[in-house]
Amino acid sequence: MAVPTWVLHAKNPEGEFLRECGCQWVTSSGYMDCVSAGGKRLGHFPSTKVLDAFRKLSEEERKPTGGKLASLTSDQHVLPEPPKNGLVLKVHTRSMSRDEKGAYRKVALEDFPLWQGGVKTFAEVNHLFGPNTDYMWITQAEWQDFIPANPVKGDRHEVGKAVSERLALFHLMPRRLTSEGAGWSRSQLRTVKLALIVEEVSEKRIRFRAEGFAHLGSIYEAEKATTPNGPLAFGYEAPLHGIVEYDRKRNVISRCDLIALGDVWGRWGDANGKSLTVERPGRQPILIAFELAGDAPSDRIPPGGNGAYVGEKSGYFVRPK
Amino acid sequence: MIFLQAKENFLKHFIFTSLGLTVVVAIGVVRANEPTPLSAQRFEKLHQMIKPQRGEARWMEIDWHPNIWEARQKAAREGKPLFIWAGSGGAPAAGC
Repeated sequence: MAVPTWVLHAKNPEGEFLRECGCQWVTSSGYMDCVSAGGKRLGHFPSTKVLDAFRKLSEEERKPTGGKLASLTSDQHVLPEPPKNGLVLKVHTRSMSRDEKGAYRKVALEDFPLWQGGVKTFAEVNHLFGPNTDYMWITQAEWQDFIPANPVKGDRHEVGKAVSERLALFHLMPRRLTSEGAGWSRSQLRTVKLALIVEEVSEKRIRFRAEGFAHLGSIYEAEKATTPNGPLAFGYEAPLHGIVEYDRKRNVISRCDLIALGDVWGRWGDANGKSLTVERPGRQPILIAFELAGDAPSDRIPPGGNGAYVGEKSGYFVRPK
Repeated sequence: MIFLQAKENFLKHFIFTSLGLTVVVAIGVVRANEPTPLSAQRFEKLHQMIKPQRGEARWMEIDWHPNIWEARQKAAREGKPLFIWAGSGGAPAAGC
C-alpha cells in the first residue's frame, strides 16, 4: 500500500489506523512500515523477522475489523478517486542523453559533471533518471469534447485549455524524477497547444494523430546554459506527438498514447532549486510518455501520488478563464 | 554603364535572394515551435523506449494500493502482512 505521509495526520479512520499502527512519519522523506490488517505494528522493512512476528498474531489481530478499528470502511477513503467515467493516463518520465549523432541513448554517470560526493556506481543513483510513473486524470466531459460529432478525415480539433494546460503544468514535469514534483506555476507557462487531427474514420473507430508543443519556464540561452552553475533559470520545451483512438461502439477512448520529446535546461534538480546532481550543461532530453491506465488498484493513485494536486486550490480541474 | 548594369543586377539578385532567405527564415521561425511529424514506426519505438522496461524498476511493478481499507481486506484475505510505503509526494509516484 502506498500513501502520502499526510494521511497519518488525517482526522478520519485511515489516519486513525496508521496512528494505531505506531507509524511515525515526521519529515517529508519516504517511510516504510510493516503492519497487520488489524493494526499491529510488525517492523520497518519486509524481513523474515516481520513474517515471524506476523505468524505469532492471533486470528483476531490479523482481521481488518478487529478492536477499535472496526469503524474504518471503504467509503471513508481519504485520497480522491479518479473522475467517474473519466480517463486515467499513466505518465512515464525518463531522463535521456544524446549520442554523437543526436539519437537518444540511456544516461550514464559520466553525463553528469556536477556529481558531488562518493557516488561509485550508477545503481546508487539511477532512480533519479527514471522511469517515474505518475497519473493524469481527465473528466468524462473533457474527453468527450475530443470527439467530433461529424468526423472528417483531415479535420483538426484543438484540445481545450483545461486539458492542455493541465498536461503542461502538472505532467510535463522534469522534477518528478528527483523530488515530490514541485509543479509549474501558471506564470511559467509560456505556451502549450495540442491538436487532434482526424486520420481515419470507420464505423468502429475514429483515429486521431495528436500534435502540439509546450514551453515552460525560461527561454533557452545557449551561452548561459553552457555553465551549469550559471544564472540560466529552469526551462522545458517539448514537441508533443500522439495517437488517440475512439471506439465508437463502446463509446470509450481505447488508446491514448502521447510522447513529449522535451529538453530541460538550467537549475531544475530539485524542488528547492539547489540540487546540482542531475544537472548537465546545455539542453538535455527528458522524455515523457502517456498511455491509458488499466483497472489495477495502483491505477487509482491520484496525480502526483498525493491527492493535493486535484484539490480545489491546485487548479488541476479548474477551467482557465 | 557596365558598372551600373552590374550593380543593378547585383541589387536585383541581392533583393530577390534576401526576400527568398527572409521567407525561408520566416518559415523556419514559424515552424521552430511545430513538431516535426513522426512516422508511426518511430512514434511506437519512442513510446516503448520511454515506458518502464520489465525488470528495470521492480518496485514499480508492484500493484500499490492507495486505499487503506481495501489493502487491509486483501491482506486479511490472503493471510499476509501489509507493507506501507509513505512519501511526501505520495510514494510510489513521487521521488520523495
